[in-house]
Amino acid sequence: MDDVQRLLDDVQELSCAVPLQQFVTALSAFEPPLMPEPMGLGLRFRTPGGVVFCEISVFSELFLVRVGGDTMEFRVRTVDAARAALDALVTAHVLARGAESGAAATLVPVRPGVPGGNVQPEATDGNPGGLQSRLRSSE
Amino acid sequence: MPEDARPRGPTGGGDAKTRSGRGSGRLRDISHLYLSSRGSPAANSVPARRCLRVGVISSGDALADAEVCANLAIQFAKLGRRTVVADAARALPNPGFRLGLEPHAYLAGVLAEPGFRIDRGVAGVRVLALPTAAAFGALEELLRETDAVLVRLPAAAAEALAPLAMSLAAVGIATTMQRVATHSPMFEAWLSTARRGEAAAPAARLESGHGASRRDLLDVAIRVQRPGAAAGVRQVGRVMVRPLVWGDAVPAVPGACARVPPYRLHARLALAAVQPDHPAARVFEGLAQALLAGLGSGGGGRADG
Repeated sequence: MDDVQRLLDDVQELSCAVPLQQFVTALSAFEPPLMPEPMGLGLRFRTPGGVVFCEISVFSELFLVRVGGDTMEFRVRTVDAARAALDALVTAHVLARGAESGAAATLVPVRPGVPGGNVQPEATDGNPGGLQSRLRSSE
Repeated sequence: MPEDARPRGPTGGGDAKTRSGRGSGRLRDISHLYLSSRGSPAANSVPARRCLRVGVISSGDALADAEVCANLAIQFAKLGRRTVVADAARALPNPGFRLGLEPHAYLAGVLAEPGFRIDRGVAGVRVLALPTAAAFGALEELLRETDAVLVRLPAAAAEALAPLAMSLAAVGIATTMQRVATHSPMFEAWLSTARRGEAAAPAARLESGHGASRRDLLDVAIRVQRPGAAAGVRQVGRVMVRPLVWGDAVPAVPGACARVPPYRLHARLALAAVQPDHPAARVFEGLAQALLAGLGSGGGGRADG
């Protein structure tokens, strides 16, 4: 994780340093571990199988997270937005595993136009139509 | 019949309601029997029932471990057991995610946020992340009113269990003397001496590395079997780690506690929450029933018994 530490050292003066640090801390908790490699403005993380899992591009007050290459993109300025991006990554990880084992897992519908990220999956902070809200209403 | 000649119970407690209104003096005479037991902290700290403690040892695949943890927890809850999932592994995906928690809840343990969170997932399963020492205290409180606890442990299970020793030992006790021993190292030492030469202890034990006494920590230890994975820890204390075959990528394993057939992973929820009638969910249900039955018969996971 030398590349990760180098990136964190470089951006510690920027306003997005705190959400970025939380984001990469959670990325390092994935199991099996992801493999980081430097790219233009940030880092690219690959799965042990060599597939691109996500890309981070850091700008002055925000960073961009692309999930699975180009399928989803988050513009992260706050810790909450970082959590939303992480939620999408964990979901993508499960979906990828389902595809690896030859089974198509159920896709989660996405909704555009949410502050903090231009695409946001279900069951995130403050989403009244999210999964947990529906679970609560069904009790 | 004169009042003094009436038969009385050994404590007099049964007469209190029937005599109310006849004379407050008699009620005052027996009130100390109620008040004396209420205020005792020792009486409050003793759990009423035996709690099943299942350890899920990391297989190097967090998704498989989380899926097994979440499915077993849901099945325990459906069988009427108050269930807690404690996550000491800090790997993603985690059981909280598979139990439908929101991001700020299931990521709290991974990001090591200060304090601790107890959240309810599907089927009412309570989820507790264990990133800090504060959470260990919360676990001890939580387990007093719990029937089953699943602890997801990293590969170094014994080291991860050491900080949880007090909490897990307190709910695994079987006798009054063992209850006392969990709160008194001296009594535990005396009990160990008295027990010397016994063929088998009531449940699995683990040598604590913190100078604490030997305590019962787990009833069952499970490890998900992965293709090509190195053999992990085989024993936690005196509990044999039982392999669990998940999916069809692994050939038959001798001694496996269950073989879960392959199924389509839901993006967010464990199988038992979305397809309770699926054959794989039935396997988890059967395993949960077998674990509870094993608890009733004294436990079957010991290496020496």
